[in-house]
Amino acid sequence: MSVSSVPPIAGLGEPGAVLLAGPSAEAGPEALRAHLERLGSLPPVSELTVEEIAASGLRGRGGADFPVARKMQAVRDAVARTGRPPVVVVNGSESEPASRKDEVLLAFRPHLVLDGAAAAARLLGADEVVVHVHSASAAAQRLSAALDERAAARLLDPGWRLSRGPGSYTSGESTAVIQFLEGGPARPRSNRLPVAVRGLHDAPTLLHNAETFAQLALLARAGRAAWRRDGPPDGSFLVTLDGDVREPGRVVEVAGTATLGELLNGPGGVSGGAAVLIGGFAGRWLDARRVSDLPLGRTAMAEAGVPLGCGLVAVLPPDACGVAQTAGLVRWLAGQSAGQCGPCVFGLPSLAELIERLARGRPRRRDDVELRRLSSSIVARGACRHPDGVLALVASMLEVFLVDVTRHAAGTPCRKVHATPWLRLPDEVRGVA
Amino acid sequence: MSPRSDGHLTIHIDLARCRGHGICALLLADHVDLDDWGYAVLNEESADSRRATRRARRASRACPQGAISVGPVSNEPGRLEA
Repeated sequence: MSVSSVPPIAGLGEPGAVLLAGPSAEAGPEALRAHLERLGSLPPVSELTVEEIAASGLRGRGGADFPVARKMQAVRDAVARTGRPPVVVVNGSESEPASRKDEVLLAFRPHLVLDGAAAAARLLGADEVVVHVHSASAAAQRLSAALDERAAARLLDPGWRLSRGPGSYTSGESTAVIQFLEGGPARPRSNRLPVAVRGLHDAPTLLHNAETFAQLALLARAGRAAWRRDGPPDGSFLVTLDGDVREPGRVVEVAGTATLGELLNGPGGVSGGAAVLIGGFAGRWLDARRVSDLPLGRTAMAEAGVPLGCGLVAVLPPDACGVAQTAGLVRWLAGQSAGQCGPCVFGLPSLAELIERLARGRPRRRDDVELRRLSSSIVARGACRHPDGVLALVASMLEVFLVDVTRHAAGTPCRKVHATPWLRLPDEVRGVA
Repeated sequence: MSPRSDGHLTIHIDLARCRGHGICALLLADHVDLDDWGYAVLNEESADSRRATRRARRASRACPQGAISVGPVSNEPGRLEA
């Protein structure tokens, strides 16, 4: 089927979908039998090689866009060097509050994710795969059922272990997941060696998020030519739409070549909007005027300075104040610190106060200097990248809302809406679609 | 993440452990400053003389949090994880 005849953007079970192909949401999780009838069984290990993955250009979909093949090679090298058996970890914790793409995959296409993890385990010679999710996530129950199905079907699977952990923001970071799986607190830790080299109980560990493993499952079956089809050169990818859109929380797959404008004007999208928050709560603002022709692709957007991160695309309503909304996000993010690193513990609340003063139109006289000083005290000094993400959000606010920032700094009254958090800043449990 | 080829050791400070005691800034003044909140800032990761290596090891032993390590692995060539 030619992709040009189908929509480049598709929801669960809709025409054009690749990752999200199969039954619609109403059908619930795709059962193992239906999954195997639709896609066939996983080919033997020889057909998926690290070289093939490298040639595909697949990068991790958890937010950092790290090349999957390089991580795999690092695991292999560490196994060869240390003789320790490797472990595979599926990070399904998706701790970005507004992101739902991994949850949708785990809840509706559990076997696609599990196939990818099984393929990676075969490739690396790992006997154990840990699947880690939020204890509150509805996907946990569905995964448990999916693992029972696989056990009953006697697939050539690795040993599975389902882990349920806390859902707070920094607990989904890779080293926090590893530390939790070792019986410690779910907090990021500063590793001198990457998880791929020394991860779970010091074993070389391949840790990816759910979408990355789902992509591997398709790649293992189709080979890279079919995997890419006519879509983005780095493969199709999932996006969660939120904010001022017709259907907040909708997860779609970008399976063909499209622009951000087409994504936002398509089903579940939006027509107006002042700016778009891209990549997560600690993402980057994008001026709505740049939306219309920005090519949708993870690499293309990273190159344009707005990396897709967790895949969140959240539209700010035209009448909302971007400075006030940023202040709310920075305050919330400051509260999400794991409480370990000084620059994060002390720097982020100071940063939040400064942005709140600006939002209220009452900055201190030297706040511009203070902001630069604070930023240099915080940047690149955490065990994880949490504080750096917050700084990037603030930097993009200064750029995209320059006119508003200048007015606020001068104490000119702001006529835009300050109240009502535009995005839900949740502590509550998220459900499944 | 490979061992340094020049044989020099590198200093690593784990900011998740640092509690701002500040002893390292006294013992390793050439390498470590303190930020506004008293936490260690590593200005120079390379301990490129025997004297520097000796001091770095002493600072490592003196840190009440065990936050300082000295080893052959460079911190430089990019983090594999993010």
